[in-house]
Amino acid sequence: MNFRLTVIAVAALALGAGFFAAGRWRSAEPPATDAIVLDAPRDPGAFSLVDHDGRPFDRARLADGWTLWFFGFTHCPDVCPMTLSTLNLMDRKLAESGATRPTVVMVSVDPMRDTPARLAQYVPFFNDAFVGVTGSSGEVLSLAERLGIIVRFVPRDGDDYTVDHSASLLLTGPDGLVRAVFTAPHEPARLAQDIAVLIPWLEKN
Amino acid sequence: MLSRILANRGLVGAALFTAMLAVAPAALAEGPSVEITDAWVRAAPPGATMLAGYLTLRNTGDTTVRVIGAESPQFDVIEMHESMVADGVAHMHEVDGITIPPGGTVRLEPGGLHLMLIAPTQDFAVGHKAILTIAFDDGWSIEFDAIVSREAP
Repeated sequence: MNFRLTVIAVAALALGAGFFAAGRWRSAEPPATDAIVLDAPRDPGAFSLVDHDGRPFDRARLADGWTLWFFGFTHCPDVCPMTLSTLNLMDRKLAESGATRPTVVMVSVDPMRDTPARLAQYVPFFNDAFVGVTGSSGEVLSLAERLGIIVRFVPRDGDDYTVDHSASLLLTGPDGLVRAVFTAPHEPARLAQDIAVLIPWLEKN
Repeated sequence: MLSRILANRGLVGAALFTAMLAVAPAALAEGPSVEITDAWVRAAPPGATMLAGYLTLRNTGDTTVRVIGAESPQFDVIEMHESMVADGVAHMHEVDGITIPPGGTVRLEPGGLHLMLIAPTQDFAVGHKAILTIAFDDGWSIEFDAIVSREAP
């Protein structure tokens, strides 16, 4: 009798655990968005950069909340202004809907020319909440590499050059880990919609 | 070479374009039968060293036309470039011409073909106009205004 009860209890427990696991698995499935949600969050490690106000921009700065990263440069006539404009429209949509607005950060892939002063003139022009970030070439390029961002310097006439760079946007949480990646092309309404559902989900998973 | 062509024919081209707005292109005996619409320049912060110009070119004639360059007194140099994203990486290359078949339309738009406006000689605030000239391989050119705007107007 006791044995039979035990068998039933174990079976019930196993069944319960199974349901729990299934339910758990289902809730861990990310919402349908255009983003790539990383199974294993990517760790950017430690970095020591500077923002467009000259303040240190390091790992501790990410603890304030969610951050949406874009890599670009100011000597970029087409793609970077287009992306910053897109991010501005996205930010306005998020503000209108009352959703969490990630801090938008543009890390310069051209730190030789993009001084904090130059970024201060450039980045807030698109949205005064946006943060321009630069630093030593070594710091910037090694962070880019750890984040999977490709940066290639391409010579132009004379001493001029342009920079090919990954067009993806990265979303990091307050723990500083990269949780999701948006690949180009970016569309403001779609980005806003995706971020509005992704952040609450990522906060729970 | 380009400046010589423009010096020779720039004014004629500009006058033609004005005329084209008023009359049917078919009425023109010669010169590029090209309509330019939606011309704009992305607003950038004061001090920006490079801007991008966009426009739509429509070939209303019955022969292929080819744009071989652009210039403006308001910029040191204008180049024609194409941006693209390949394997997730944004890059840009210069193009030496833009060919528009008869009846065809080519759009210069963000993230694709654009005029790269290098070293502006003045600041361009939203609402200002840039005066640009595009040159064709047959020696003709068209001058047009491009409105400075944060987004495509």
